[in-house]
Amino acid sequence: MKVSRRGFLGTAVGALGTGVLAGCSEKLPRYLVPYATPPDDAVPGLARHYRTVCRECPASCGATARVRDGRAVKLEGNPDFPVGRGALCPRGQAAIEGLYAPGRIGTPRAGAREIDWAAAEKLFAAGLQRALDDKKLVVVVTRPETGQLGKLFGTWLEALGQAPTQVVTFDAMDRPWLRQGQERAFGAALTAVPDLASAKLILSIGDDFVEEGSPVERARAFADQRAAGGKSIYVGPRLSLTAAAADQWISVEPGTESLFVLGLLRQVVDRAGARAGLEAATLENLQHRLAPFDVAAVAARSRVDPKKLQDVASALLSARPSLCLGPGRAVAGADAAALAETVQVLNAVLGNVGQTLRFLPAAPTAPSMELAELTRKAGAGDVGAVVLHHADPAGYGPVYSAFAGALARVPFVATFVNELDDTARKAHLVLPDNHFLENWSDVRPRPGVVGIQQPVMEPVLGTRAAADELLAVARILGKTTGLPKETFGEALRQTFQPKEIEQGFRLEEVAAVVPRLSPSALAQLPSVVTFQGPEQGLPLVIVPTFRHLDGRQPRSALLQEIPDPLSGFSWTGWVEVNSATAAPLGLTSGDVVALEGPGGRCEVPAFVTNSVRAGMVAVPVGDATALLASKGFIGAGTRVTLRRTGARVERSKTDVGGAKGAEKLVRTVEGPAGALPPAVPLPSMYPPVEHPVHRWALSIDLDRCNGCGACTAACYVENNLAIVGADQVARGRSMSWLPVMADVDTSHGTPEVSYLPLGCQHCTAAPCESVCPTFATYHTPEGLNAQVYSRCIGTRYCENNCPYGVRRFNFYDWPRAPSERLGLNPDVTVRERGVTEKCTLCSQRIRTAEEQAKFDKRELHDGDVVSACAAACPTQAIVFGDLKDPTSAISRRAADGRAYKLLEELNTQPGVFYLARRRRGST
Amino acid sequence: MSEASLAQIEKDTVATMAGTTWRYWLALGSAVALVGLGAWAWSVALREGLGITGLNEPVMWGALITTFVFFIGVSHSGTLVSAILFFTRSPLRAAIGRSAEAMTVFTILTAGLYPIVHIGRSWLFFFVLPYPNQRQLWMNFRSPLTWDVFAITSYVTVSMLFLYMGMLPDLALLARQVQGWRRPLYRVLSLGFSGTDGEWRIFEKAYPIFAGVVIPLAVSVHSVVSWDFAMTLMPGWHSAVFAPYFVAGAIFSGIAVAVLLLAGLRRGYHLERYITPKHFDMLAKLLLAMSLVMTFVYATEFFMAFYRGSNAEMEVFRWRATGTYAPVFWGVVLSNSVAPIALFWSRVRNNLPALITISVLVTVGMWFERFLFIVTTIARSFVSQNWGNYIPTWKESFICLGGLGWFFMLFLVFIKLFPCMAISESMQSQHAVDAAVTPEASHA
Amino acid sequence: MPEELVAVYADPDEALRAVLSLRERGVSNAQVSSPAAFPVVHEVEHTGHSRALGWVALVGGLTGLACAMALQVGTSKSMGLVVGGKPIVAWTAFGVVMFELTMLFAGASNFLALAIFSAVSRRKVARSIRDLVSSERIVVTVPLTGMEPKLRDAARVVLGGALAEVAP
Repeated sequence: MKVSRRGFLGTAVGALGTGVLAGCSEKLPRYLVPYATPPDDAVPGLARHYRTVCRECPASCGATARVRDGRAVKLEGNPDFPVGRGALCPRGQAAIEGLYAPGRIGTPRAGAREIDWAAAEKLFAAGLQRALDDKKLVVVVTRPETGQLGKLFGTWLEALGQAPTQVVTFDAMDRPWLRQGQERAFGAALTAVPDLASAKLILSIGDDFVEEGSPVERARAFADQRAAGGKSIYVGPRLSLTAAAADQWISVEPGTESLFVLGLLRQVVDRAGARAGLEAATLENLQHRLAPFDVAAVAARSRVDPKKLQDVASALLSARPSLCLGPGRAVAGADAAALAETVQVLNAVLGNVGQTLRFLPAAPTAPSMELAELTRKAGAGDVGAVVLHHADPAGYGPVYSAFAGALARVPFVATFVNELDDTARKAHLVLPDNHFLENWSDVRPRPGVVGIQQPVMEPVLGTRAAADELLAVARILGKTTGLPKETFGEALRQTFQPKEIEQGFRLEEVAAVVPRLSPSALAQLPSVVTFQGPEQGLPLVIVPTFRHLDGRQPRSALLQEIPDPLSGFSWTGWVEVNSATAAPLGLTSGDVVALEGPGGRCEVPAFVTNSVRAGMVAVPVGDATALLASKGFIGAGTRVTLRRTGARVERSKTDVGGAKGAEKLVRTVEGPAGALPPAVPLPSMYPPVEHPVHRWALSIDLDRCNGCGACTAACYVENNLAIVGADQVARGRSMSWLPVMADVDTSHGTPEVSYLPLGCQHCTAAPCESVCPTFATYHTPEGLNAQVYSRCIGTRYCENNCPYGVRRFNFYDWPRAPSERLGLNPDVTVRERGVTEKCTLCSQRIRTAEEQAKFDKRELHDGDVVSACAAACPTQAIVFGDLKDPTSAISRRAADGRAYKLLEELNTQPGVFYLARRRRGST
Repeated sequence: MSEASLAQIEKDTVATMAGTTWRYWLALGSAVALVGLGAWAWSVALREGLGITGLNEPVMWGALITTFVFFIGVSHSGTLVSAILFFTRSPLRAAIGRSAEAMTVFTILTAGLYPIVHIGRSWLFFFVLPYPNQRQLWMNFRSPLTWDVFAITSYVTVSMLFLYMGMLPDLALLARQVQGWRRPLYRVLSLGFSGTDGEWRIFEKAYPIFAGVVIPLAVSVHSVVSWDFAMTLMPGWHSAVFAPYFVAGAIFSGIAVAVLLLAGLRRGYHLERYITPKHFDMLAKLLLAMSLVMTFVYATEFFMAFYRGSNAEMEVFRWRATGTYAPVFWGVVLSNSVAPIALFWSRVRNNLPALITISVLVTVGMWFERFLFIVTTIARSFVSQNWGNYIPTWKESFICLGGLGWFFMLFLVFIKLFPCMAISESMQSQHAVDAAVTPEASHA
Repeated sequence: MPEELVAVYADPDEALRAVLSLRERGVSNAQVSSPAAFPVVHEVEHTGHSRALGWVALVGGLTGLACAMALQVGTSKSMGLVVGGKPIVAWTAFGVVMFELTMLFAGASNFLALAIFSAVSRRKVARSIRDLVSSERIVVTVPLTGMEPKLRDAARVVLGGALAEVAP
């Protein structure tokens, strides 16, 4: 995987041909090998891998792009990069869709007109010149850019004669209260680096760390923590993925989470404050501030059992070190900073600081402008030009409506985007930026970690790098002081060693900081959240999801297609309503309700469930934007009213929880050392099937799986799965090979949710195989249940005989835009209508690895073949391997006492096995 | 009996073929129109995909397979009853045997359309046929669908030959009787049959052999079709009672359709002399017997599900009786198990309108019964994420109706081209009956 | 001198009486051509290959069985694919097609035998005589070649009024 300069340039030249041809011509090239002059080390049919960084959200996980013949076809994680450690979340897996999306624009636009780059640069320069002449401000509004591009904005503004502080960072998913809370608690600006894996007990105050923030990193650490025997408690209003993965879910009256934490803190301070190593003054201050929050008062107000509160406190005190995280968006109200401060105080008193909660100095940020200030100045007419960079404030509805209104008063608005969004539609000049897979940049998710983003292919369309356009415009204006002479990418590349670019990151030494609790901690106590909105409305809680993230447009088709595993909705948002709240309204799951809040209204289908507290509702972020009072994406603080509209939306069925009469697929064991009773081998009339060389299999650890759906998304991308659209999904015709199912267990009081990815089980005695009249499905000597599309005539007998229901039939030919076809994985057939398909254990990857091993004249090692789902799983829940290899990871798992197979009594002898979920009960 | 009445048989039979009334043309026209409608609907499926049906995950077999099984079932009574009546030397066979055998042949030809129509890639249906090809592709003989191919092909071939064989004497007679374009047709088709004593001896030796082949074949064919379901592991399907259940159901539905066809023929061509109340009485008794067998089978299935204690199976049956399709289930029970009980009373058996009503109920009930057990099992199998529902779409129903039209079209054309009653056998049977009635003066 | 006597009857009973009379008088080589298998047909002397039919059907059935076995075993071995954990040669499953093909071949060979044997058998009666048969006419034929004059007369007497002139 050497990326020499020569090799890269060679690739660039070669791929340019592809890019230009593919981008410019209507017809796709007819020859199979698109290179006219291939680079020296490019072998047609073999993939090249380039390390880069995923830019779908500010977490910036490392990514590896697999490039085939000049086109990126798959993204994996970067196993060496500390953020992500080899995996990507579902958004990252689906990111490649953005590269080939039909909605992507390739030419600049002025208003509705398409113009070429020369004209666009002239327009841009003219707009800026006018602003400068009028002595007005030029402001840059950008998504978080923590690397050199962020610095470039400041330098660029300086070159124009503006202040370098005129940069606004727009991050709708930002959680500033966490930073503010830290600062108040420890008296200094810091970067928190929690070490979840080392904690014996994790207490999350509404912090959905598996779904927001840095989800991949945290999810992996969390799974490791569980595997090491750690426990976890989630305090929050609903059973998010994080709460489902935790051992205990405690819900309190919405808005009273702060009380709960204060009550906990009081208990901890009372029982162990003296031994916490605090200064006397600090301790006294704490005791004084916490006096009113005794158990009874807190329990009464937050409607939680007082014993629970005390149990949690006891657990925190006995399991050391612990880790308290939060507050997450779901429970953040107007006072979120104070609540964050309280959580940090709790950490400090428990002695977690320096152990599981490490701190680095705050990332050095250049001073910048706040969005509110820009809104004010723009409204007053002081702003002459606004340059937006992947920021879409107008797309967030009423939350940022003030800014959107102010923007209308700015004489010149230019924006860099990949696809048209709401702000772009209002802008004077729209400039298509390269996709992150086509661009140079770097990101610093935290001090000491630099992720290097390099282009993995030539641009598909005629886009250009935003940084280069800014430099070009500066050159036109003749104001290039301090700006790089060459392209931004070239300049950036020179700041890194080739080896660093090759590995995709650079690590720097940063000294940790071990702060002490500030004597004035808890100067401002968090108060109970007051909910604004209609009097008879219900408190609204926001649900972070990978699908919607912050509700940004455009929404990824793939992510919308994959249903939410618990509610089963796809292509739409939903509102979670407790059954007790829904009953008087006569609501059932699927009924569309109209929600009205102070910010507006939205119509979404209802999900009636016990996974959300009674007397409140929960809505994914994307749909909640319409409802919120304009205060940014605070999770708690709005009330909404519900009204049935009479319409209905069908959901995908994701429930495998053993509804009465159905088989229960998820099994649990009690305690860290629990094991299942050994399986009894069933008699058979036939001799056992022999696998002479390999027996490929998949194992899924339900204790590690948190239902994120990265495996589902990866499977879609790897295997050219078709996206069928809302209507067909509602009819139950989704093509997903590895959907994530949910099991809701209500037998222990509070519901406990486990997630289970359910794909083809690759049975040794597969019932689907014997009934196919044309041998379109059979058992390969390596243990796969193979599906031969060319032999399938579509009798669908196999679908009928599969007890797991994992086979998919192509009811139509699913349409793909020409650009989307560029992104297809060339190793996998695209199936036509009338053919059945299902998980193939990534047989193309097995084949590639076997051929490579044969070419290298060696045996296959464990880890040479990794299926897409196993590679994608952020928590390493899925392990792929050869059961005939006694040293392989999967063989070790097979010997685990928790291993079991689904529907074992049917004697289908599946090759896929699961590891039972561990229940650690309550504290 | 007098020679005149024996010759009358031929005259009456020929009369059914000769004049065509406007009613006939209306019936044929409607049948052809239905075929056109079905063909159009299927062409949409071919062009766009099976998404135009109501099929989804998990219900992958629906109205089309129901109609397939239904038609195979209906095909059973014809030849089977004809062969059985042959072995029991029943005098009732003569008048109804031909129509019954024709019904068999044409329902199988109709049923044979559905496996081609319902598969996802119909243009590749020949993959299930055994022929050497460069892909070295052979079929999977463990699959009940392959068994279906062989069973149905054998059955349609043997039934056609059985029908044809029985028709040889009649074709020979007709070749001499009629004029015009039919004459050379019948002469060629009669294979030169001339009614010499040697030929009759050969014929009378070959025919029982054939009937003896047909009966086990008929039983096996619907058993094989039942194994399409019983050889899976799905709850509600995986049951050993399916073979006899299907065969009984086949005879049941087939008798009902035979009653309707014969009543139609009788009325349309004034064959009251030949198709007598005795025929309907016998058919009614068979209908009743089969209804009782069906009731027994329904009860057995429920009993075995609960006795076995399998969660999944109990759930299927519970849902069948109380879930989304409960109205269908209870309707089926009413029409298949309850309504035919009226046939215990001879007053009902001899009342043709009542018998026709019950037959219609049974026919419709049997279609829905197949629909019910096919759909409710796969809609409610082991894993709850795989529970679903199914309603056929309009286009799907048109394809089913197209098959119905196809059957009627073939049958109507047949009765115009070929004698709908067995002439020579009727003559022989009539003569035997008369000889038994007047035993004197037969011999010298 | 006509080569044979041809009598036409409309009533099957009369034809039967005639044949029985002939037999009483020693004429036992009468042939009957009838539109239906009336009892008169069975009174004629036994000729033809009808006995072989059973054997033909049996042989046909066994051929079908052998073909089915060969087809299934041969193709399964040539494909060599494991399905459902079952062995390559699965006799239990193969039994179904074996049965079906047995029945098919038995029936088809039976039909073929019928066609062929009938064609051979009917040549014993002249074409012109066979064409006389209709739903109202049963033809009784007595070949006269090599018959004693006494018997000839007796036959003529029995057949009497039903005699008809037939062009050879």
